[in-house]
This record gives sequence, structure tokens and C-alpha cells, in this order.
Amino acid sequence: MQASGTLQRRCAVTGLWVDRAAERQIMAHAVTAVVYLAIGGVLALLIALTRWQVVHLLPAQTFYEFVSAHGMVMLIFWILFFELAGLIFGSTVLLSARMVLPALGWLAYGLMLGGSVVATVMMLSGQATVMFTSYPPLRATPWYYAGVLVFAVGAILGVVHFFLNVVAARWRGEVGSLPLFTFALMAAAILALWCLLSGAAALLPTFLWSVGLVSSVDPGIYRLLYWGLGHGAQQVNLAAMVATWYGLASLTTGAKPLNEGLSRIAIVLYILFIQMAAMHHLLTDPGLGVWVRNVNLSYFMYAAVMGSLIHAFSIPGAVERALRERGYGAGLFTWLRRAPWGEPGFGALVVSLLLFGVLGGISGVIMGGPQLNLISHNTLLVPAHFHMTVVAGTTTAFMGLSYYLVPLLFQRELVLRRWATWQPYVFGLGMLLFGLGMGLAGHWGVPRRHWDITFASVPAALRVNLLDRPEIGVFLALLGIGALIAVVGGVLYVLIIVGTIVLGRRTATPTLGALVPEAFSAVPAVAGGAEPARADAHGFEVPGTLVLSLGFLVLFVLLYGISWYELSRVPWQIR
Amino acid sequence: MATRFSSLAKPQGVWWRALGRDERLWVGIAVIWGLAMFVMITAIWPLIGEQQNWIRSYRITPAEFRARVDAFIAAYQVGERAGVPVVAPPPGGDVYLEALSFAWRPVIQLRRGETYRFLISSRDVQHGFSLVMAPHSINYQILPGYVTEVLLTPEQAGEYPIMCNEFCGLGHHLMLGRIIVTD
Amino acid sequence: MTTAEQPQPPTERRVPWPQLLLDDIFLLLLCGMVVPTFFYLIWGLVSLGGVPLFSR
Repeated sequence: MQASGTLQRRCAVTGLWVDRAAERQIMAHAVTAVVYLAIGGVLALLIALTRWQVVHLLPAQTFYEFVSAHGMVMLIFWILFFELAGLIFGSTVLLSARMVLPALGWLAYGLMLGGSVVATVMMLSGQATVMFTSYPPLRATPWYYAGVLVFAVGAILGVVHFFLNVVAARWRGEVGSLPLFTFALMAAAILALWCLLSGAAALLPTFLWSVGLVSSVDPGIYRLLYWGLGHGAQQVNLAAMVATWYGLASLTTGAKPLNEGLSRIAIVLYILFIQMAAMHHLLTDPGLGVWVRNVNLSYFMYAAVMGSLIHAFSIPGAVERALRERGYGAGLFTWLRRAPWGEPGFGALVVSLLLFGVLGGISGVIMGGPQLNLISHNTLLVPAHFHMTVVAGTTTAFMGLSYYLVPLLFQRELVLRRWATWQPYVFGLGMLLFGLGMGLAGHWGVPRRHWDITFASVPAALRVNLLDRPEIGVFLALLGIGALIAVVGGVLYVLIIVGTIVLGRRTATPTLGALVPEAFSAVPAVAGGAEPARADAHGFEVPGTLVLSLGFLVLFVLLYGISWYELSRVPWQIR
Repeated sequence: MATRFSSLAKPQGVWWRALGRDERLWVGIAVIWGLAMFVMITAIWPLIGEQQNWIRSYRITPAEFRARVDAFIAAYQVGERAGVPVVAPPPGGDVYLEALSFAWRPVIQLRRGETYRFLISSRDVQHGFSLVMAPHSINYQILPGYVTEVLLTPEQAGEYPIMCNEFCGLGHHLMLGRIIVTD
Repeated sequence: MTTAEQPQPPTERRVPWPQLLLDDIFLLLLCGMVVPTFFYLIWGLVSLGGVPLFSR
């Protein structure tokens, strides 16, 4: 069997040294994350069945309470607990390094747990029906703000802990350049530090106001500071998802990034510029000038978007390169047809890449322009966009990664493996339909955070019924049906993970499907050390990826052009 | 010569290398597209577009803004809808619009083809001004303590409801105003 | 405890400066904090601070 020390153990599958304290903390964070995912998922179903107006399941007050809770539980609690698990993994286990200060990790976890529980209870008991954004002068119970602040402090400590571990491993000489996976997680940590501080700057005065120690909070300043957290946290998710993409690609196909430096520079573009796009939420606000908006909304002339475009190319490119080397080199797309589609991690990678890129990313960039925001702000387009990025993108990728990390760390066999093969596709299909339905409804002007678009309680002389346009009913039905399918996918995931943790057969060598054994090793696959680049007749190494990427760009340009055309059709002049 | 490494492994030695042909092509395209989008929103559309985002802003207390709205109603009221005053301001004039939990005040009557200076604020919490012009809507975030000023010119007659699309309390979905545009 | 990898091969030449920069965690952390703080937070606060009083 394998060496089982009290401080570290050697993983029999990957050869990595697993620090025991890190292992326990990863487990704690991961389990908590999945619990919040399940809670948020139940809320998601009930909310979707209410926005699907013919069903209209929840009464108004419950609906607004649940939308508030769903937002915070999913956007912050589920995802940050999972990401902290990833940060611990990337800074210790993946580096085969020791965790330097376990007490700090446990303190961080405790604060995050306590704060999130208090905040969630406040929201579900109706004492904090202020939405995830908690805009003053809307006021919640002080316990809500206190809970979120305590959570934020815990998360900040967790991020600091990540840096301590990485720096210590560097000083001990155990690592020179970080693995690309950890490098991207480090970017996520930097983005997280900035966004948590920005959020604390917004929420601390608001907390003081809620207890009467401060007379008022300027709503414009609050929004500026808050969205540093609100949107900034989503950029943390983006960076962590990119890390997961590279990781899954290496795990399932043996992919090695075509150009290490290019991928890292693309990540640095995130570090420098991506938080500026918090401005996207402020484009129809009073108080902000044209150029402070233009420079920030564009992530500095779209520098960060170039970063995303680089990853969108590099990851499929690395997969293509690896599969061509495995012998599937014929033609443009044989490698794609022969890719491991039945491997849960690969399915999750592709679903995540496609839905994030095509639906999430493009819609975000389009709506993030000052003029197009006029027809998008606070319509259902906004949640459609971020469900494609955070749910179809980041959450799907995280699910895929956990199909490997959970068996490895908990040392149990994955249960219901056949379901795991299908789960990313089921979830992805549901989210695709949901996103299309919600996005089209939003494009047709349907408002977000709204309980009744038939305005049934409004006097007839003022009333309008958005459902008078029959296509809107179709879009909302698509939203509801997509949500149902996605929730099935979510339930499958929770069952598999919980089942594995609780019932999976204990083993030091869990079967992991088509896991590429040398994924964790720096030993080059080719004897001699140097990998000659093999190009085709035109000098291209990855022609299939080039064609796919160009196709993506054509779609981008098309959707971009259509959006401007739609804006020009608005029958009012606005200056 | 640089080797390639799995993203989960520690890269060894010198991994910095020149871009291959594929990468150079794609990065070039990405840079061009990024700059094109930037030029579109900062230069091209501002020159040719009829819908611009040039919000002018002021500070005001909710009480003072409410007084302006009351004066505006008193000066130009022409009727009533469901208890809300209907106001017909002169073309080229100021239009005061107040958001409150849970109504838009007043109802506004405009002439097609004329330009009006809309001044919008909130009496209490944040609201979302969402002017329905099916199949789209025009949207602004309305903050108490701030005035949002925009120049609007309706080019089509009809009735345009104003929804609220920022959660403002339990009566959020009861907020419905109206702009009437006559020929 | 060290990993089971082979020892680092001797570098044939100096590490290029872009690689050194990309490996500098503290530099990246500093830039990641300073750039958005200046462009978004400070510039944004200045803009909000410059909103004039309504007078008509």
C-alpha cells in the first residue's frame, strides 16, 4: 500500500505528496460548497418555476426572499468555498508542498462558515430581502451585513493563506515556476483579494448605517465599491475556471499548452485589467463621466478580452496537439471526433468552454458597451449572461474537476460513474435552453428581479401585459424547461459526489477513467527532452483549432452587428 | 530548446519561447478585433448613432426634487390616469419624473418629434427606469439624491409604459408609469 | 519532502526576463492591486465627487 504518514501521504495514483492538514481543509471546503450548491439549486428551481409565468409557483414575498438568497448562496458561498478548496489544493498538494500554517486555514474556514450561515438564515427568514446587491437605502437586519463581512474576512484570510503556502514552497526551493494551473489560481487569488477589499469597503459603512452609527450611505459610492466585489468575484470565477480548463485538458487528453508564456501573459492581462469591468454595472448610473466609463468598461481597450480569446484558442489547441500526437492526426477534425467524449472531465470541459465562450462571454462584452447597455440594463439579459458564465461555464468546469479530485482526496471510488459521463451534457443542455430562453426574454425587454410581468394588480388605465406578445411566453417556457433539465443535472452531480464521499468504496487507487498518468509529472513525454513542433503543410500546428476559433469569431462579429442594428431600431432618439 | 509541460506539472528550465505561426495569427486577429470594438463604442457610434449614453448628473435632496415635480405637475397638468396626474410639458422643455415605492409620477404626454430634457430621480430607494418600446426597452438606474438628465425625442406615437426593473421592495411589480406620445 | 521528478536539468542559458517577470508573484500582486484601484476606484470616486448641485 502507500506510505501513510500523519503529516503527509504519497498519492498512489499521481505520485504527489498530500499534506494531511491540507487534505482535511480541502474536504471541509468542498463539502460545504456542495451543500450550498444544493440549497441554491432548490431555490433555483422554485424561482425558475415562478418566472415561468404560467406556472408562477411562489407568492411575491417568498419569490423576492428566495431570489435574494439564491444570489448570495450561489454567486458567493458555493463558488468561493469551492475556490478556496482549489486554492488550498493548488498551493500545497499540487506542488507536493507542506501547508505552512494550518491554523490560519481553519480560522479562515470557520469565519467563512459562520458568516455564511448567519447571512443565509437571515435571508431565508425574510430579514434581508435586499437582493444579492443589498443597495442602500434598502435596509436589511445588521446581522446580514455582519455575516457577509465576517465571511469576507475569512475569505481574505484564505487568500492570504494561499500566498503564504506558495511563497513558502518557493523559498524552500520546492518549486520554481508554478504549474500553469496554480498560476491561474494565483491570478484568481489576486483578483479575490482586490474584490473582497472593495466589497468590505462598501459593506462596512452599510453595516454601521444599519445599526444607526452612520446616518446615511451614498448610493452612488456604494454601487461603485460594491460592484468591485459583485463583478470582481465573477472574474475570480473566470480565472479559476480557466485554471480548471487547462487542468481538465491535461488530465483527460494529456494536453500541454502550446506556449506557456502566451497563456501566462493572457492570465496577467486578467490580473491587470479585468476588475475594471465592474463598470459594466454602472453604465446607466448618474455620476460617472464618459471616459472613466469607456476606459474601465473596455478592460482597457479590451486587453482582458484578448486574454480570454487567447485561452479560448490555447486550450483547444493544446488538446488538438495532444490528440494528434496520440495518432489522430488525419484531416482537420479527426482529433475532435476521437476525443474522450465519454470522460466526465472532458465533457465538462467542452460544455463549459462552449457555453461560456459563445453565450456568456459574447453577451457580456456586447452588453458591456455604454450604448448597448441602454437596452440591456436590468433586463433578463443580465442574469442570462451571468448564468452562462458562472453556471454553464464555471460551475460545469468545477463539477468536472471534482469528479477526479474528490475520489483522489477522499480516497474513494466514484459511485454512479455512468451517470457522471452523462451529467455534464444533461446540465449543459438544461443551461443552454435556460440561457436562450432567459436571454431572448431579456432582449424583448422583460425585467429582472420581477415577480409579475402581467402587472395584474395595476389599475387598467396604466396596465400593460408583457405576455400579450406570445413569443415572450415561449421564451419563459424555455427558461422553465431548461431550468428543470439543469436541476436534474445538478441533482445528478450532488448525488454522485455525496454518494462517493459517504458510500464510495475506500481505495488508495480510485479508478479515474481515461486519466492521463503523466499529467502531474514534469517529465517530458518525448525522450531527449525537446518536443519538436510538428506543423502541417501550411506551417500550422493546430489547424482544426484555428478553424474553430475563426468560426467563433465570425459568430461574435455577427452577434455584435445584430446588436447594434437592434439598438438603431429603437424608435426614440436619446442623447 | 523549451519543452511543453502539462498544466498540472511544474515547468522546468526555460519555458519562454517564440510564438508559433498559429498563435501569431490568432493573437493578431484578437488584437484587431479588440481595438475595433473599442473604436466602435468610443468613436464610430458616437458619430453616427441616434441612441447615445451621455447621462448628465446632479445632486439634489429627495425633498427638493419632489418639490420640483409638484411644481411641474401644477404648471402643466392636463388630466389624470388611475389617480396619477397627466402632464403635458412644452416641447423643448424640462420633464420631471419621480420614482417612488411604488409608482412613477407623473404620467407624461409628449409630442412626436419634439425633444425633451428628462430629469429623473427617486424619492426613496433605488429604482430602475425601464421604458417599454416593444420589443425593446430603454433603461436607467435611478438613485435617490442624484438627478439623471437625458434628452429624449420620441419618433413614434403611442403609449409607452414605464416599468421598474430594480428591486425596490415588496410592491416592486406594482410600479408602472406611462409616457403618452401624440402626433 | 521532494517530488519524484528528475532533478532540474542545467539551464543552457540565462532565463529570459519575461519569464522572470511572470514568475514574480509579488510584482503581479502589486500590479493587480494598484491598476484597478487607480483606474476604477479612484477615478470613479473622483467622478462621483465632481457631480454638481442641481440648480434650475
